[in-house]
Amino acid sequence: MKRAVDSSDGPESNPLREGMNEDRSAPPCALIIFGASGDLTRRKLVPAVYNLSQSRLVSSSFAVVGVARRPKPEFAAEMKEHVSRYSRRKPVDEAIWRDLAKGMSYVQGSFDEEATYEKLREELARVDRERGTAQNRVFYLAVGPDQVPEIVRGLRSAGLVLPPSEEPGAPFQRVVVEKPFGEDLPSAHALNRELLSQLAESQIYRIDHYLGKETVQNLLVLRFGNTIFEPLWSRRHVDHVQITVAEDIGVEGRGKFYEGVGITRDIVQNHALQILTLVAMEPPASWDADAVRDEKVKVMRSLRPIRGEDVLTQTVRGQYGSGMVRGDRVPAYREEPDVAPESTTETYMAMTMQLDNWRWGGVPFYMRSGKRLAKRIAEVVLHFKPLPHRLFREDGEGSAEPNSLVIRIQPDEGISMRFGTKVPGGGVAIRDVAMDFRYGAAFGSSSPEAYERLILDAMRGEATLFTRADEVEAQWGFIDAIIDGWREHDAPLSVYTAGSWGPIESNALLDEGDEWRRP
Amino acid sequence: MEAAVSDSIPAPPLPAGQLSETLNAIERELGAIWAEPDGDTGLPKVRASTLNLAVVSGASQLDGLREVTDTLSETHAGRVFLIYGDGHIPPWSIQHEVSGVCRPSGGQAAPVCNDRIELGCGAMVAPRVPSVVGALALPELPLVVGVARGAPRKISEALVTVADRVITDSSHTAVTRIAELARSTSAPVCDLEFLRTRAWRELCARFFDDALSATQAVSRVQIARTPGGEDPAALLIGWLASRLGWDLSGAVEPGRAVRRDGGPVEVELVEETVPNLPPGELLGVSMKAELSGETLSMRCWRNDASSIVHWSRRGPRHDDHEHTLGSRDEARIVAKAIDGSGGDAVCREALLAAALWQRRQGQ
Repeated sequence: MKRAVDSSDGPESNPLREGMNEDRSAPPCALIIFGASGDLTRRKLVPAVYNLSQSRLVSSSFAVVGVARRPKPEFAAEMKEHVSRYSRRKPVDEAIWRDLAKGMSYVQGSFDEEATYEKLREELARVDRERGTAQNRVFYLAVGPDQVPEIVRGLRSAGLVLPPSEEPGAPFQRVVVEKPFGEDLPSAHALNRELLSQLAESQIYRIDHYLGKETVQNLLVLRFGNTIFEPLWSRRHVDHVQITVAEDIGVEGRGKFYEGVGITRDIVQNHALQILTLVAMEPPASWDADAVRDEKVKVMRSLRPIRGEDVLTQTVRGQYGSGMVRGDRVPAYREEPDVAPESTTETYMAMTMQLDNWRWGGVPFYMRSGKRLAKRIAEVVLHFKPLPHRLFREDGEGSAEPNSLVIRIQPDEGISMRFGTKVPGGGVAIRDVAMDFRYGAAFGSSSPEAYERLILDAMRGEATLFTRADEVEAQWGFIDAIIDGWREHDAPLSVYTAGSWGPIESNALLDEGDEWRRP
Repeated sequence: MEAAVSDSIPAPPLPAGQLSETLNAIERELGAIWAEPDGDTGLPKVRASTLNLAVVSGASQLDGLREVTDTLSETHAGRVFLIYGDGHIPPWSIQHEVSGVCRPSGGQAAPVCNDRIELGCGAMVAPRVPSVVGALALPELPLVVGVARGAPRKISEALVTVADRVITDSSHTAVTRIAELARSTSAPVCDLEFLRTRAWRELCARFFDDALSATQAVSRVQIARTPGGEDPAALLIGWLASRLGWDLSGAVEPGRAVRRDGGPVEVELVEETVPNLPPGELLGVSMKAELSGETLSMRCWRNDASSIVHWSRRGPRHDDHEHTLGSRDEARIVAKAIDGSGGDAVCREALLAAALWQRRQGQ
């Protein structure tokens, strides 16, 4: 963007913008969604954009351009229907929608055709003129991983993404890539290499939508925004940590996709390991994206690999059989549509992990994730060490449970601390109580959706909640070793009843005296 | 603008302990609210508390304020005090009404409640209001004091001295009055009208985004408004002056400001009536800067009662855009005022400069 007047004596920043940061709104920008006819756009992305507009977090110079193969002559009207259905705020505010719809347009074309990018370029030039989007672009690739490289090549060839400029106020182009980021380490590495041949790392935003969840971010605030927890957050006081990412639903008609993926690639490699890094990381020196991500990568590097025969004693893989979930009878995984009757895809995975560093040496991290479990829950529980001396247990009465800190990520987001208190009356009887903070109670039920935060951060250029290349590859490196080990050693597949908490074989992963929590 | 609570009639001194008895009664009623389980679920009520919010207003504003604070409690739950003056109440008395506002928290879980205490004040109790509020406020939580329309002067003045945060509204309270309040407290002051006009300020700011030097070379500002009400131009001028370092002191002619480099800034205020727009609404801003022999100008204007403004820039760059000013419900504006940080210093400086400007214009 050419400066109107150049003067070496001028201020370095716009003094009129001072104090506007409290709104943290996005700069003028066009959001270009590749895969605009897909499910993610309908259910998540456009509703997120609408809610950002309603919260006045997008600039008045904002536009959305959808790109997909199918014709969509009524793109804005169609998106309004989806917003009406999927937005967390209803009904749709007509005034806000009208303004948003003015900046919505659509480009039809195949992603492998040069003409598509030419049309897109013309459309973006029009949008810059009429909406003032100032050549700032966020390209959201809501497409399968195999289409990502060709889209990025097409954008680069058409001059729609350029090397980033250091000049203040220069236009930016960023590319948001959805998971899965590869399907193993070699493919993730190849994808990174391909993207980095066209873009700078600073232009690539790899999404893991769990990082956009308020409660996941609250994990960092809890740890590093308070003085009382960090002194307890280590092997000195923590006996073991349990991480659970459980779903009560099955594959929901996506059997064909799931057969090639399994829970380990679908959930554990990304969401569950992200939670692990946030729980286990050292305090960053600053909230700068690289400072935070450096600490997360260090966790992955200190994670002791599980490979070879170790997979047989440190991991359990399972698959749901038929059962009852929330009062309804459900079929076994192998009876789901598009699932092979002899499928060996795992729908459950549990493991015990060790972190070889000063903070966590000797503390087991138990992780489990599965489909068709008893309830939908994602939580982290720090189980503290038992008392060194039981002052109040001489008569054998009272609870023997050590303290625990539960961070509930979903649903019913919040934090609870379990501790013992004296039961009123004679004697000293101890009962466990929970001191409970629920997000919904303190801050209302309508917290921003994860995609709202992530899209906004991509527009603002804040990469803290996005995954870096080395982080993704470290995650895949850890998971690949496990999957290879399963293959080499013919790891058994344990069937569990749908509606239970997984195969009983997972109990053997725990140290003596430890038990899987029943959330 | 202040409620007409007469302080010219001498009244007998307050009998010892009278307000304490009122406080005791309030505390008993609060205890009863929290002791009773929820009528629908039979479960104990859950309290959510993030702040104490004390809003001072005229009695006529209560209905509207109840609605705003109920909505606000969904995201900023806490104890709400609605404090008003009423000439019908005996001078040394406080009348009270206590209620619990509950909302379901989904499923079979207990509802989440917060309480509201309404305090109608007689003419002489203003100096004691901070003590009453202090005794009833939830511990360890900030006290946010809002000065709403018709707020009795003495009650506002007393409360802001104990506030952790003050919220004002220059759409109905003169900026000179707000400046007095701001000087009497060390708490941050956030003005609701300052927040409502953020879009105007952002549109002004973008004129200079790629012409930073022009911020030191503004020679003319024209601001248009609808007639009546409090003058919205004062706050905008105060903001421009405080950000750009203009001198608005008494040494400068009315209708002018002086830039840092000593050059003049002509300030023209225009009134226009636009059908369906209320009094005291901003209609437009235009600015001109002279830099290295070139003239740069910006104009941001609305032509009708719609929220569309036409923004144009002339000079080495020509740009024309339309923007929507947008609208927010009041609860959200108040929520932003409560949460606001980083912009507090800017708002305070703008208010003080606006007050200086307004005094010089003899308004």
